[in-house]
Amino acid sequence: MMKPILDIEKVGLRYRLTKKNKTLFEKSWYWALQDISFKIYPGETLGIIGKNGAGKTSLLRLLAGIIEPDAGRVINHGVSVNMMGLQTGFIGELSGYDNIIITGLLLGHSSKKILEHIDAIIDFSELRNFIYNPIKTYSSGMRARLGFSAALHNQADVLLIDETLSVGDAEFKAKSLNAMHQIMKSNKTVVLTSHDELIIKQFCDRVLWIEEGVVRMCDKPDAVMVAYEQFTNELLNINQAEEVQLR
Amino acid sequence: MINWGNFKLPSLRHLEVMLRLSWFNIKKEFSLTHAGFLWWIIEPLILMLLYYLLFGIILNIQTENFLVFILAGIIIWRWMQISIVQASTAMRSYKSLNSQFYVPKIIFPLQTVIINTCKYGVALSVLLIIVFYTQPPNPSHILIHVGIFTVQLLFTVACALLLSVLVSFIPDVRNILSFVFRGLFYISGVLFDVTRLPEKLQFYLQLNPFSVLIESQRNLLLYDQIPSVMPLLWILFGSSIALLLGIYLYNRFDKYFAKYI
Repeated sequence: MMKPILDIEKVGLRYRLTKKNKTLFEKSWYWALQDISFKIYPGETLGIIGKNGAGKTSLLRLLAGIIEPDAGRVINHGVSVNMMGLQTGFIGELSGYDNIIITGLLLGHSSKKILEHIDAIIDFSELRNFIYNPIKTYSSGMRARLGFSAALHNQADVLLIDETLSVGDAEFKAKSLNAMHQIMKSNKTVVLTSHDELIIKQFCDRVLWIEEGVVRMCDKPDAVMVAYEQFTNELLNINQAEEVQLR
Repeated sequence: MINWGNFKLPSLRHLEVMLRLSWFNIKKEFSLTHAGFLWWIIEPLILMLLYYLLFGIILNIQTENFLVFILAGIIIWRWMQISIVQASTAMRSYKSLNSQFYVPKIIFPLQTVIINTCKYGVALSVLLIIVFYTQPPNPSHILIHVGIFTVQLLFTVACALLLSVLVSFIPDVRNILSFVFRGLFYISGVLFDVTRLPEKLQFYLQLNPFSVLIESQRNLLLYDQIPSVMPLLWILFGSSIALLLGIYLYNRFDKYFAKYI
């Protein structure tokens, strides 16, 4: 039996709600995640599915150590974790070049090592001279490309990918999927969230399905995807039936 | 009870991030305007002329060497005030970075103090050049200069940390701050000599750290007057405690900030 590199034990995460009728010090909480437990093993690719607002991004941020759980614990057995998402974690005012250096340092690389890799990152992102312009002038596709390239070249042990595989034009998408294949072949551990069934089936060894902050299922992709589709179809049917009734 | 586990300083790696971030932001500021770096020199000079016009000529206030007097006051005041005000909202401008990476939040307010201290350094050298022609500074007082600078810096950092924590919990404080600083500007003796006021009033103004810090440094710079030690020691003592509290609070609420900001 392989040893896990990340242990997620009965994790819960809550956010404070602001209610209009409540006074300043009264608190009401919304539990975004409840009693979540699973393990991540080295070299595997774990997919996380669930509808919008199910808590997928919060879960990734917990894994990356950006936030701490309010219940349970996340145990990191000494691995570096890098998260990439749609927000891409850039500082809008600064140039792409400066941003690569800042985020590289935050992931624990020396500035010397970052400068060695920086040309490869810029090449892969195809941003060319745009790299010296502030990030806020980039299109969302350009931003995603830079984020993906930077994450690809930052050699973290675990890569968390938050719905970024389907960003960019067709050509870059093909290129990034190709790069993802390379990563899967190497020993890197990947956790990815996606709404794209094909990507989940193509890449993942296991799939975790979260619904309303709790784990519904965690199994092989085929089994989970069948159940997930059934579930979403049922939801659709119920909605349609309600609509018909309303008419 | 202070939990020592909650009392750690940022690692070397994060300090490097802080320094790079400061430098990148300075570079960005230079690139935004045509005059770039020169604005760091022009800005205090423009303000000096403006206040001179208003107070020296229109209101006819007589102070020896009024132009240099105003310039010294403005440079010291703006260093402390802008550092503190900018620090109070620094964290918010890095929302996206914080959503994707773990960053000790304390580096954001500290970074604004670093940037403004560089600005201050440039403006101060201009002032020193001017002062050098009128009254060459006494080189044997260099240690006193360093001492006052240290107290000013500690005080600024302490205020920056405490107020930025406060603003992140109660955003309204940010709005109040701008009024408070406007008021402080007029009672801190930036534009007038506190010692000329009635003695009873002077005592109360001495309770204001900004006033003490500006007066001590300016009198030393312009008139070679050695400041009284006790008020400075009190400020040093208070700032040190506030600084420790600030570091503690930043550690205590580090992950909380990550969640809500």
